[in-house]
Amino acid sequence: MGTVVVEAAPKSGSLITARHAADYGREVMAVPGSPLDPRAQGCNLLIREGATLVQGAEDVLEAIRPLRLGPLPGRVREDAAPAPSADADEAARRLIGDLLGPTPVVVDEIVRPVGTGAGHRPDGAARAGARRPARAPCRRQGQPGMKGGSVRVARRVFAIAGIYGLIVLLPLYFAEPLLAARRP
Amino acid sequence: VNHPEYFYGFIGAASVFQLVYLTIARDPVRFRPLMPLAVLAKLNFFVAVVILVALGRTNIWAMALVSVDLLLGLAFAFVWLRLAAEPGIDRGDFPAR
Repeated sequence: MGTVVVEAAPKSGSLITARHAADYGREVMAVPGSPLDPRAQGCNLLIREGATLVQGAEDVLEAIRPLRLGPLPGRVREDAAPAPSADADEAARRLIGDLLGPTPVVVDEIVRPVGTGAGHRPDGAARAGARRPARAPCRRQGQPGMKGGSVRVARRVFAIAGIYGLIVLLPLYFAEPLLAARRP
Repeated sequence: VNHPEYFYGFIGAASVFQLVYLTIARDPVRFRPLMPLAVLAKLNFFVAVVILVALGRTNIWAMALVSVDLLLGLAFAFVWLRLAAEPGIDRGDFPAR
Protein backbone atom coordinates (compact mmCIF):
# COMPACT_ATOMS: atom_id res chain seq x y z
CA MET A 1 0.00 0.00 0.00
CA GLY A 2 2.75 2.44 0.88
CA THR A 3 6.42 2.71 1.69
CA VAL A 4 7.88 5.10 4.24
CA VAL A 5 11.56 5.98 3.98
CA VAL A 6 12.80 7.26 7.32
CA GLU A 7 16.49 7.56 6.58
CA ALA A 8 18.36 7.15 3.30
CA ALA A 9 21.75 8.09 1.96
CA PRO A 10 21.90 9.43 -1.63
CA LYS A 11 22.92 6.03 -3.07
CA SER A 12 21.34 3.61 -0.67
CA GLY A 13 19.25 0.49 -0.80
CA SER A 14 16.40 2.41 0.74
CA LEU A 15 16.13 4.52 -2.40
CA ILE A 16 16.11 1.37 -4.54
CA THR A 17 13.28 0.05 -2.38
CA ALA A 18 11.43 3.34 -2.80
CA ARG A 19 11.89 3.21 -6.57
CA HIS A 20 10.51 -0.32 -6.73
CA ALA A 21 7.58 0.76 -4.57
CA ALA A 22 6.87 3.61 -6.97
CA ASP A 23 7.12 1.21 -9.93
CA TYR A 24 4.51 -0.99 -8.29
CA GLY A 25 2.20 1.98 -7.86
CA ARG A 26 2.58 2.28 -4.12
CA GLU A 27 2.51 5.49 -2.19
CA VAL A 28 6.05 6.59 -1.38
CA MET A 29 6.50 8.70 1.74
CA ALA A 30 9.67 10.16 3.18
CA VAL A 31 10.66 11.77 6.45
CA PRO A 32 12.62 14.99 5.81
CA GLY A 33 15.87 15.83 7.51
CA SER A 34 18.65 18.34 7.68
CA PRO A 35 20.26 19.11 4.30
CA LEU A 36 23.61 18.84 6.07
CA ASP A 37 22.92 15.29 7.23
CA PRO A 38 23.97 12.78 4.52
CA ARG A 39 21.57 10.23 6.01
CA ALA A 40 18.66 12.54 5.20
CA GLN A 41 19.70 13.49 1.66
CA GLY A 42 17.97 10.48 0.13
CA CYS A 43 14.70 11.32 1.86
CA ASN A 44 14.93 14.96 0.83
CA LEU A 45 15.64 13.86 -2.73
CA LEU A 46 12.54 11.65 -2.69
CA ILE A 47 10.41 14.53 -1.46
CA ARG A 48 11.78 16.77 -4.18
CA GLU A 49 10.83 14.11 -6.74
CA GLY A 50 7.25 13.94 -5.49
CA ALA A 51 7.22 11.64 -2.46
CA THR A 52 4.79 12.59 0.29
CA LEU A 53 6.39 14.39 3.18
CA VAL A 54 5.52 12.70 6.48
CA GLN A 55 6.52 13.67 9.99
CA GLY A 56 4.48 11.22 12.00
CA ALA A 57 2.07 8.33 12.01
CA GLU A 58 -0.87 10.66 11.42
CA ASP A 59 0.69 11.90 8.17
CA VAL A 60 1.13 8.31 7.00
CA LEU A 61 -2.49 7.46 7.80
CA GLU A 62 -3.66 10.57 6.00
CA ALA A 63 -1.57 9.69 2.93
CA ILE A 64 -2.87 6.13 2.64
CA ARG A 65 -6.48 6.88 3.61
CA PRO A 66 -7.61 7.43 -0.03
CA LEU A 67 -6.09 4.06 -0.94
CA ARG A 68 -8.14 2.17 1.62
CA LEU A 69 -11.74 1.14 1.08
CA GLY A 70 -12.56 -0.09 4.57
CA PRO A 71 -11.70 0.93 8.09
CA LEU A 72 -8.13 0.70 9.21
CA PRO A 73 -7.68 -2.69 10.87
CA GLY A 74 -4.32 -1.83 12.33
CA ARG A 75 -5.11 1.65 13.60
CA VAL A 76 -2.51 3.31 15.72
CA ARG A 77 -3.72 2.96 19.26
CA GLU A 78 -2.17 3.60 22.57
CA ASP A 79 -2.41 -0.06 23.44
CA ALA A 80 -0.96 -1.17 20.09
CA ALA A 81 2.60 -1.02 21.36
CA PRO A 82 3.83 -4.10 23.18
CA ALA A 83 3.53 -3.77 26.89
CA PRO A 84 6.82 -3.46 28.74
CA SER A 85 7.94 -6.59 30.43
CA ALA A 86 7.57 -6.78 34.17
CA ASP A 87 11.31 -6.81 34.77
CA ALA A 88 12.04 -3.75 32.66
CA ASP A 89 14.44 -1.52 34.44
CA GLU A 90 12.56 1.72 34.98
CA ALA A 91 15.75 3.67 35.61
CA ALA A 92 17.27 2.40 32.38
CA ARG A 93 14.17 3.38 30.47
CA ARG A 94 14.27 6.87 31.92
CA LEU A 95 17.96 7.16 31.04
CA ILE A 96 17.29 6.05 27.48
CA GLY A 97 14.52 8.58 27.19
CA ASP A 98 16.94 11.29 28.26
CA LEU A 99 19.54 10.14 25.73
CA LEU A 100 17.11 10.24 22.84
CA GLY A 101 16.61 13.52 21.10
CA PRO A 102 15.69 15.09 17.77
CA THR A 103 19.13 14.38 16.34
CA PRO A 104 20.25 10.86 15.37
CA VAL A 105 21.90 8.82 18.12
CA VAL A 106 24.02 5.73 17.58
CA VAL A 107 22.56 2.69 19.33
CA ASP A 108 25.87 1.96 21.06
CA GLU A 109 25.86 5.44 22.61
CA ILE A 110 22.60 4.54 24.26
CA VAL A 111 23.52 1.00 25.19
CA ARG A 112 26.85 1.93 26.81
CA PRO A 113 25.54 4.23 29.56
CA VAL A 114 22.72 1.83 30.29
CA GLY A 115 25.26 -0.94 30.77
CA THR A 116 23.52 -3.56 28.68
CA GLY A 117 24.93 -5.43 25.71
CA ALA A 118 23.59 -4.54 22.28
CA GLY A 119 22.20 -8.01 21.97
CA HIS A 120 20.30 -7.66 25.24
CA ARG A 121 18.71 -4.26 24.98
CA PRO A 122 16.09 -3.53 27.53
CA ASP A 123 12.51 -3.23 26.32
CA GLY A 124 12.68 0.49 26.81
CA ALA A 125 15.37 0.87 24.20
CA ALA A 126 13.37 -0.99 21.62
CA ARG A 127 10.16 0.86 22.35
CA ALA A 128 11.81 4.26 22.52
CA GLY A 129 12.87 3.94 18.89
CA ALA A 130 16.56 3.21 19.33
CA ARG A 131 16.38 0.37 16.87
CA ARG A 132 18.56 -0.66 14.04
CA PRO A 133 17.21 0.17 10.59
CA ALA A 134 14.72 -2.38 9.41
CA ARG A 135 15.50 -4.14 6.17
CA ALA A 136 13.13 -3.86 3.28
CA PRO A 137 11.41 -7.09 2.22
CA CYS A 138 13.29 -8.90 -0.48
CA ARG A 139 11.62 -8.40 -3.86
CA ARG A 140 12.71 -11.74 -5.21
CA GLN A 141 10.87 -13.51 -2.44
CA GLY A 142 7.69 -11.65 -3.29
CA GLN A 143 6.04 -8.47 -2.24
CA PRO A 144 4.38 -8.09 1.14
CA GLY A 145 1.06 -9.85 1.07
CA MET A 146 1.90 -11.80 -2.04
CA LYS A 147 1.43 -15.52 -1.90
CA GLY A 148 4.73 -17.15 -2.77
CA GLY A 149 2.92 -20.05 -4.43
CA SER A 150 2.51 -18.39 -7.80
CA VAL A 151 6.15 -17.41 -7.96
CA ARG A 152 7.21 -20.91 -6.99
CA VAL A 153 4.97 -22.43 -9.68
CA ALA A 154 6.33 -20.00 -12.26
CA ARG A 155 9.89 -20.87 -11.33
CA ARG A 156 9.23 -24.59 -11.68
CA VAL A 157 7.32 -24.33 -14.96
CA PHE A 158 9.99 -22.25 -16.67
CA ALA A 159 12.85 -24.27 -15.22
CA ILE A 160 11.28 -27.52 -16.42
CA ALA A 161 10.63 -26.01 -19.85
CA GLY A 162 14.19 -24.73 -20.18
CA ILE A 163 15.84 -27.95 -19.06
CA TYR A 164 13.52 -30.09 -21.19
CA GLY A 165 14.23 -27.93 -24.23
CA LEU A 166 17.98 -28.12 -23.77
CA ILE A 167 17.85 -31.89 -23.31
CA VAL A 168 15.91 -32.24 -26.57
CA LEU A 169 17.80 -29.68 -28.63
CA LEU A 170 21.44 -30.05 -27.67
CA PRO A 171 21.83 -33.63 -28.99
CA LEU A 172 20.59 -32.41 -32.36
CA TYR A 173 23.79 -30.37 -32.72
CA PHE A 174 25.72 -33.64 -32.81
CA ALA A 175 23.10 -35.69 -34.63
CA GLU A 176 23.17 -33.67 -37.80
CA PRO A 177 26.88 -34.26 -38.63
CA LEU A 178 26.41 -37.97 -37.94
CA LEU A 179 23.43 -38.14 -40.28
CA ALA A 180 25.32 -36.19 -42.92
CA ALA A 181 28.30 -38.58 -42.67
CA ARG A 182 26.05 -41.62 -43.19
CA ARG A 183 24.41 -40.11 -46.23
CA PRO A 184 25.68 -41.77 -49.43
CA VAL B 1 18.71 -32.47 -43.50
CA ASN B 2 18.75 -30.79 -46.87
CA HIS B 3 19.58 -27.31 -45.59
CA PRO B 4 21.95 -27.52 -42.60
CA GLU B 5 22.12 -23.74 -42.38
CA TYR B 6 18.38 -23.58 -41.65
CA PHE B 7 18.67 -26.50 -39.27
CA TYR B 8 21.44 -24.90 -37.21
CA GLY B 9 19.69 -21.55 -37.31
CA PHE B 10 16.56 -23.11 -35.84
CA ILE B 11 18.46 -25.15 -33.25
CA GLY B 12 20.49 -22.11 -32.18
CA ALA B 13 17.46 -19.84 -31.80
CA ALA B 14 15.49 -22.52 -30.00
CA SER B 15 18.41 -23.26 -27.63
CA VAL B 16 18.78 -19.59 -26.77
CA PHE B 17 15.08 -19.46 -25.97
CA GLN B 18 15.55 -22.33 -23.50
CA LEU B 19 18.11 -20.12 -21.74
CA VAL B 20 15.50 -17.35 -21.74
CA TYR B 21 13.10 -19.72 -19.97
CA LEU B 22 15.75 -20.52 -17.38
CA THR B 23 16.36 -16.79 -16.91
CA ILE B 24 12.64 -16.22 -16.33
CA ALA B 25 12.68 -19.09 -13.83
CA ARG B 26 15.30 -17.26 -11.78
CA ASP B 27 13.03 -14.24 -11.20
CA PRO B 28 9.51 -14.68 -12.59
CA VAL B 29 8.24 -11.42 -11.06
CA ARG B 30 10.92 -9.36 -12.74
CA PHE B 31 10.75 -11.14 -16.10
CA ARG B 32 6.97 -11.51 -16.23
CA PRO B 33 6.73 -9.22 -19.32
CA LEU B 34 8.69 -11.88 -21.25
CA MET B 35 6.12 -14.57 -20.52
CA PRO B 36 3.72 -13.72 -23.39
CA LEU B 37 6.68 -14.02 -25.77
CA ALA B 38 7.45 -17.42 -24.31
CA VAL B 39 3.82 -18.45 -24.88
CA LEU B 40 4.08 -17.20 -28.45
CA ALA B 41 7.30 -19.16 -29.02
CA LYS B 42 5.70 -22.40 -27.85
CA LEU B 43 2.37 -22.00 -29.64
CA ASN B 44 4.05 -20.84 -32.85
CA PHE B 45 5.77 -24.20 -33.31
CA PHE B 46 2.61 -26.11 -32.38
CA VAL B 47 0.39 -24.25 -34.84
CA ALA B 48 2.96 -24.60 -37.63
CA VAL B 49 3.17 -28.38 -37.17
CA VAL B 50 -0.62 -28.74 -36.97
CA ILE B 51 -0.96 -26.95 -40.31
CA LEU B 52 1.83 -29.06 -41.87
CA VAL B 53 0.16 -32.26 -40.66
CA ALA B 54 -3.20 -31.08 -42.00
CA LEU B 55 -1.60 -30.43 -45.38
CA GLY B 56 0.07 -33.81 -45.31
CA ARG B 57 3.54 -32.30 -45.50
CA THR B 58 4.83 -33.90 -42.30
CA ASN B 59 4.34 -37.07 -40.29
CA ILE B 60 1.41 -37.31 -37.89
CA TRP B 61 3.86 -38.46 -35.19
CA ALA B 62 5.25 -34.93 -35.09
CA MET B 63 2.06 -34.07 -33.23
CA ALA B 64 3.27 -36.12 -30.28
CA LEU B 65 6.40 -34.00 -30.07
CA VAL B 66 4.66 -30.65 -30.35
CA SER B 67 1.92 -31.58 -27.89
CA VAL B 68 4.58 -31.04 -25.21
CA ASP B 69 5.09 -27.52 -26.58
CA LEU B 70 1.33 -26.95 -26.43
CA LEU B 71 1.23 -28.03 -22.79
CA LEU B 72 4.20 -25.83 -21.91
CA GLY B 73 2.66 -22.88 -23.77
CA LEU B 74 -0.57 -23.28 -21.82
CA ALA B 75 1.40 -23.59 -18.59
CA PHE B 76 3.27 -20.37 -19.42
CA ALA B 77 -0.02 -18.58 -20.07
CA PHE B 78 -1.49 -19.92 -16.84
CA VAL B 79 1.53 -18.74 -14.84
CA TRP B 80 1.49 -15.35 -16.54
CA LEU B 81 -2.18 -14.79 -15.69
CA ARG B 82 -1.83 -16.15 -12.18
CA LEU B 83 1.07 -13.82 -11.44
CA ALA B 84 -1.02 -10.89 -12.71
CA ALA B 85 -3.66 -11.69 -10.10
CA GLU B 86 -1.17 -11.33 -7.28
CA PRO B 87 -1.07 -8.05 -5.39
CA GLY B 88 2.02 -5.97 -5.94
CA ILE B 89 2.76 -7.33 -9.41
CA ASP B 90 3.30 -4.90 -12.24
CA ARG B 91 0.63 -5.66 -14.84
CA GLY B 92 2.18 -3.52 -17.56
CA ASP B 93 3.85 -5.04 -20.55
CA PHE B 94 7.19 -3.54 -19.76
CA PRO B 95 8.22 -1.67 -16.61
CA ALA B 96 8.84 2.04 -17.15
CA ARG B 97 12.33 2.59 -15.80
